Amino acid sequence: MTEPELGYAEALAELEGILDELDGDEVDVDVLGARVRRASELLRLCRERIAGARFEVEQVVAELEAEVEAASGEDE
Amino acid sequence: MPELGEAVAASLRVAFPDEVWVRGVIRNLNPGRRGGTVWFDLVEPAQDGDLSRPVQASVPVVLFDMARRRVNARLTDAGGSVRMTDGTEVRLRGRITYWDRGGRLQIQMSDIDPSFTLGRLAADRERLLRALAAEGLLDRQAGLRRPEVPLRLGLVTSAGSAAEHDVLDELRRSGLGFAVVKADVRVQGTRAARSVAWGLRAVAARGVDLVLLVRGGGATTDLAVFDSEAIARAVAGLDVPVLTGIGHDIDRSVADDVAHAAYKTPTACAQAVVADVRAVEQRTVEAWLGVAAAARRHGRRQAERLRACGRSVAVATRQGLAAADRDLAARGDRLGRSASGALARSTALLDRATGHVESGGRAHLRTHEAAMAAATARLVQRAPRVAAAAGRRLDAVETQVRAYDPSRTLARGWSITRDARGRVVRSPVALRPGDTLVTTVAEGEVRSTVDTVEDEP
Repeated sequence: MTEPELGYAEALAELEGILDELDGDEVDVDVLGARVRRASELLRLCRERIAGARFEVEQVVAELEAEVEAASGEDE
Repeated sequence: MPELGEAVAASLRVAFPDEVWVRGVIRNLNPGRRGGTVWFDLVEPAQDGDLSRPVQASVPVVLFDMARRRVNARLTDAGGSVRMTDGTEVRLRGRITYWDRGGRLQIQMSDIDPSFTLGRLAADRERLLRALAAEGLLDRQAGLRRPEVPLRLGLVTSAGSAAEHDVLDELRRSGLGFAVVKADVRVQGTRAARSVAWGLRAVAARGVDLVLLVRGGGATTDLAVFDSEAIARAVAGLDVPVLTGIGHDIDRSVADDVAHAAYKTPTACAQAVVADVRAVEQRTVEAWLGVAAAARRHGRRQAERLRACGRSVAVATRQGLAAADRDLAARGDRLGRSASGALARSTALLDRATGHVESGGRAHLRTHEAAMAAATARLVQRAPRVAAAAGRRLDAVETQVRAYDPSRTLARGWSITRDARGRVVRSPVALRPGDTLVTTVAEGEVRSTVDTVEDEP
């Protein structure tokens, strides 16, 4: 079973939610462990999203040139 | 032919005896060799100002080397922000001449009015901004939500330019996993507006998080294309936030005004994007650190609570034990007291009971003894009388017994006859001739044999 990909913003929101929860005093020790585990997962996910991907550059120049040429060719 | 050319030239001198000021847009500029003659067309663009469409009017302009120096000096004096480039609207002075070798009318340029160009640019800009504002396009981009983690970027600029290099360098050095979709566009000349507008839409169509529209620094006229309506509408129409980094020192372009955010340079634009991602990364790390700290705090608090709990349990236990000890001791005393009391009481009780039993037994015994004595006394009194009466009853019985004694009957001559089996014979019925009979008499027995049997008549 795979979970739907969590967006960065959602992951961060969940992380901050956990923080808010832990700021309160009413956290069970059992739950605490689970929350910290989840928080570390979210952190890993966020890190992967930000730094995991390789820097890459993709060009859309060719088709663009063709389109511009076609467009400007109309008046000549 | 030479005469025709001369005639045309002469009539032109008559028609235009002095130099004239003409307004128009530069097109097909040919800079020529360095320090040489410059050629271009001065045109009246199509209604919408789009230079890539057929123009309404056109006249060739020639700028000879001598005049070019004066024109350049004039532009430099104006602050260097106006340059003669394709698409620039200019007001220039020159003489209308006929070039007979080329067979055409042309303007021999001698001077330029930079303030006109600047004014036109400003006026055009104002008009466009008002129009965009009226259509609600001016603030449309500003209302878009900037993605928190813009990692997929559209980069619209001229390929190989310093601006492109600056942006890519900044992004690469960040070490973050940016993916850049790059559109190579023309940022000057008559096709620039259309090209940039295409570039903006092309990268947006690739589903990027942000679009960066950048251009290195240059003169105001170089950047005039970013005041164009085509680019302004393209920027405003995108659903992806556009960040501009158009090298302006003083003014903002219309593209800057319409865009989601504007930065001074391409580098600043890229840095802003990196900073955005860094900020979110930082927030993530801080949130995690917060979680970790809170977890530790909780752990400590729980441990402290546990220790406090343990302490109070220990204290309570000790107090409880002490109380129990005291209680036990108290109970022991009371028990001791009450036990000995009870023992004494039960002993007394037992003694009393024993006394009862003893006295009761003795009394009982005495009663028996008395009864016995009385009985004995009565017995002693009555025994002789009883014995006498018994003797008399005994005598009577003896008399009766004597009366029934068979020996006395036998003595009187009666006998008893029995058969062979010892049964007394009372009837002749059971007897048969030959049976043996035994007859007992007073002095003995007589054995005899039956001859005949006669029934009693």
